[in-house]
Amino acid sequence: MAEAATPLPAAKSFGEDERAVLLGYLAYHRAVLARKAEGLSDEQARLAACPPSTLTLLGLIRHMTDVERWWFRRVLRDEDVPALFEDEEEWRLPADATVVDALTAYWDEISVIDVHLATATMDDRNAGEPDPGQHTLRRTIVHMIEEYARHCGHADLLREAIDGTTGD
Amino acid sequence: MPVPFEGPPDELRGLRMFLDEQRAALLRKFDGLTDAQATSRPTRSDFCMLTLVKHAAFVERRWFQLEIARRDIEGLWPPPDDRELKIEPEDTVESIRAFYEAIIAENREILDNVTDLDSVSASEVNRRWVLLHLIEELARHAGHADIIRESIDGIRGP
Repeated sequence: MAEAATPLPAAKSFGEDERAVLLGYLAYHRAVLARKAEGLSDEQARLAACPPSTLTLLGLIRHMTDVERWWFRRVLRDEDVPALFEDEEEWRLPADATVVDALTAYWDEISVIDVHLATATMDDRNAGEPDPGQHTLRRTIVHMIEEYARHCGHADLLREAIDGTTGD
Repeated sequence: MPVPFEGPPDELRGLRMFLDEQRAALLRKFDGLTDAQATSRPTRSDFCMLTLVKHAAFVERRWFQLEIARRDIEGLWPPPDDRELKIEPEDTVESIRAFYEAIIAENREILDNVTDLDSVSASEVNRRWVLLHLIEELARHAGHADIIRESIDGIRGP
């Protein structure tokens, strides 16, 4: 089976401050989710491999790309950027959807967000809807960590069903 | 995902609430299963719902005792055997739920006495890292549970 290309962050920040620990976990889960799709054919990544669940690895990557955009750009910064997928369209994969395209869009979105996170503080409040001023960046990142981890759990079983690969 | 609190809490209160939400998510997936369903392995994974919840209980206990309460209890790490991943004849949905809920209750008490997220333990881990680790590990297992539960009886949801 093919190797994942994205390296896992070398070490989690066991004894660091809040900012380092939160950003460390976020980076870790972004890498784990990407690695779950890497090394697969496009056909394998489009497969609903654990029926009756309709989840696919490509759908998960597309979903988290839009979730990143939603929380970090629209909610946190009030950027006027449209959702990438309307009406849960991220789960309905076009016949020509590829792993490369999905991961390129994913890392492109993350690279825009990381420019902002590099100077943000955990007490920063959200400028956009919903509830401007009510969400701290700390809360948003912990939520992203739990959402990534839940979806990485989905990805674990999908990937294992597809080719037997387990682990981060 | 529901927003688990109104307004911005401090760091510790936020972590508590997210941890409780993950515990609840995993236990919701366990609700209403028969013992036969809870021990079935409907995917290629070795996990069944019963071992997911049992494992979560062991994971919580060792991290809370060793690294949150910082009690030096022998036999918690490394695990002496793989019992937390095995189904024993006496295990039932009811007994494993009670086992996990008792550990959750003890761990909430431990956390009630925590104020310091920064100081590091002998193994150089601070409590913030441990709480986030538990949140991510329980959430990941809740993701496993989502797919296993849907495979068992079609039930989906948070």
